[in-house]
Amino acid sequence: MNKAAQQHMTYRQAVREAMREAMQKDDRVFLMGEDVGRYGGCFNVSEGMLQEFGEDRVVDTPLSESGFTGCGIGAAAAGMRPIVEIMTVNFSLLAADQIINTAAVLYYMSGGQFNVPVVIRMATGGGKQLAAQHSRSLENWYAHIPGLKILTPATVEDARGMLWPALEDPDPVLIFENSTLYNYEDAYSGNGHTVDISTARVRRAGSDVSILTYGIGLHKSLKAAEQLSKQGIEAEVVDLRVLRPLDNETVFASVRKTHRAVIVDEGWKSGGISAELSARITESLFYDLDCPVERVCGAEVPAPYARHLEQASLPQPQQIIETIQKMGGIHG
Amino acid sequence: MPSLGSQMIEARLIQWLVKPGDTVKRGDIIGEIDTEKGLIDIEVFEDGVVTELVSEEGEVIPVGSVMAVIDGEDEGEKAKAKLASPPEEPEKKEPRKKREKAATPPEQPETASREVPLHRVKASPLARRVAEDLQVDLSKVKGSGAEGTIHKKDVEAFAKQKAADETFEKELDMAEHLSAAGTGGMRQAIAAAMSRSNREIPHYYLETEIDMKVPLDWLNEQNKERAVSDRLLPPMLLIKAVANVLTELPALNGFWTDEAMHVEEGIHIGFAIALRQGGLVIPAILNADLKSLEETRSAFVDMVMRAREGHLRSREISSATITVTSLGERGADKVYGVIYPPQVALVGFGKIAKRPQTVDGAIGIRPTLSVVLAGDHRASDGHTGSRFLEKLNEQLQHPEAL
Amino acid sequence: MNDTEAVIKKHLHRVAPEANLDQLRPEDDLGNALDIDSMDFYTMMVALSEEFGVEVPEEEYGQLRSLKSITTFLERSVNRPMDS
Repeated sequence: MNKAAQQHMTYRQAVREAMREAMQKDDRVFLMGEDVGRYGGCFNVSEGMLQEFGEDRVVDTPLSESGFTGCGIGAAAAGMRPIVEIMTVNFSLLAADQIINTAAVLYYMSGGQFNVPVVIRMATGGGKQLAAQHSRSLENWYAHIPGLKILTPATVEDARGMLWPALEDPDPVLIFENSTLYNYEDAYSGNGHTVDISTARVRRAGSDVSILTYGIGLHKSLKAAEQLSKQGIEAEVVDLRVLRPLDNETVFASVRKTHRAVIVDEGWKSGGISAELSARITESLFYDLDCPVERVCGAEVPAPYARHLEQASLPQPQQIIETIQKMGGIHG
Repeated sequence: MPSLGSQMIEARLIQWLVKPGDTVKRGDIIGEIDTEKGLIDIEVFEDGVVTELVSEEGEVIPVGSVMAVIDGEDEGEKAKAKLASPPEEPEKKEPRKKREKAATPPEQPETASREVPLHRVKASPLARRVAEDLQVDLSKVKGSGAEGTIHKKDVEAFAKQKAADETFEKELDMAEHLSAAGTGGMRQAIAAAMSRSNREIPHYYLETEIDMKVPLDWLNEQNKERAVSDRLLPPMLLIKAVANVLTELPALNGFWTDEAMHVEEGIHIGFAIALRQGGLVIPAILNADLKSLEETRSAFVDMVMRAREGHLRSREISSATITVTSLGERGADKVYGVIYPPQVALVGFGKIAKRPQTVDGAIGIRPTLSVVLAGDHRASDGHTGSRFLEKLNEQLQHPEAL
Repeated sequence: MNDTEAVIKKHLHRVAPEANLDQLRPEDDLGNALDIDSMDFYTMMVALSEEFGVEVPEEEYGQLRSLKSITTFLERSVNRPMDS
């Protein structure tokens, strides 16, 4: 494990190291999915793992999301600890019945006889010119479902540290990895330690406005916060990390302090996690708000293919900055 | 008891000039009160017959309380006209309406809705909570947000200002109590107003020297034709010139209240008059811009005489929208004035004296006048102030047009 | 003190009631000695002009600054027909 001690690590390496470590630690853990073996994963995450762990533990599956996700769920119910990789959230729709109608409710439907300790990893998000069918951020939908735990690691540390507790969790956990983050590199000296999968984290402290975000939105928000700081506006950036169950406590503490909230989410506003957060804040912190809750979200259109249009359809730091500058009472 | 200024709380009734049964007309002087601004005559704003004198001579009466009852002659009914300042007039109609309503079945919702302000205050939830904590009336707060939405910082700023005002009022209150002791009260009132000014108003000063040869020559020519009692004096020209300039630069005419500039439509030039017994009063020449120079002259003479005798009218003492002070032909060369809050400017005219001046490229000895404009930097900037001085000079160089 | 002076002092007393007129010397500049301003002076001159029934020509007005000069002017004017 000398790799884990190295000074820098990419997000991709972090996910791979997490999987390797889990498989080394626990025989019940195995990886299955499309192209995870011979091809090394469609985002190259599992490269080398087939050679290291063999065909029994790194399983290339047929192109049938419903089928192999169901296999993973069954294996979990039977006592294994499968990591199911679905290439992207877009294809998870084919496995939605397995995830929502089986994994999320089996414990309840079986009267507590079966847990489903499966971990389903998938890439999410746009920004890679993959057009309307391959650029969605549907983690919002899964966060709607009781019985599922939804993780959205945004940092190398989380990518590295969230998998093991997810595997230890007795219920199905979905991990959404924003595909534009795989090449993101950061200092890492965690030496393989795990992180909690229940709380949000304040990534940047500030006093004037709370930016609530996750995944790629964290990085755009931090960029915006740096710019705003030069203008005398101190934004607090909260990385949600877990979309279900939401960590109300951390979010509320921040908004109670700043009296302003902006939610940054690549997903669409309508019925999305941004709507949920906004509602919770208004329900619980109405008298702490000094201005309406704002949202910077993906444009409600099918993701455009053209680069400039796609970029325009996604939340960008400039948009976050402008939204915050216009918030009532923010200056002075 | 009429309010003769935003800071006035009460005044002592010195004497009644009417008795029950007397018929009074709008504009009649019916009594005399002693305020921190000196002795003031009370005008009546209603025609009618005095039926009752409620206040007794010597009594200290809070602003807004009923001092006398006048039976109005209008509408032929017994309308109780409160003897008070005009803004309170609409109130007197309310009770009558309600009494009429009482005959019909009770309409509670309507009565209730009357208490709800027509214009709903837009304030953030936090601002509302803070306002409650700080006991701030949100309807008085000016919001800084979109469409005037009130945010927390607006409430806090207002509360801070209110605290300052209350300190000021306490000081004034003290002054009122001292006023029984004679001019000490006026001293205290001046002290309170000037302290507040110095504390709150960021003054800027702009100064220029005006060649007075043309206006003084013109004045002398005019006076040759006039009886001594109709003489034109320099301050009359100066007041008229200031009034004319203000029509073009309204930003200097008005009040800074609730953290904002409120330009006044009427141009009422307050003129500082020193009293021989000490202190000063600042009665206003009302609507000076609409008066001719001749009207300004007679208003000025009349006002100064009455100021010296302690017979200023309530409206004159409370309406100034800007102050002019002139040191005349004696005294200091220049005057750097202290703005009288909530006004936003003061024009100080120094002594008119012969001084060397560049005239047509050579040094000449001319009568000159130094003008210092004191401006409230919250309400206006130096640019406006400079234009004021420039235009004032233009006005004075064409006295015939004043 | 002649009658004219007494009348002038009466009017001076009206505009400057607290001033000690006994100490006023004939040549003293009234403005400086009694701290009276142009309006006070104007008030007094109007009153004198009425009491003595004389007009005060513009060229004289500015010269009348002391008890002496006013006395001289008034006495001279009274002994002169008004319509000269």
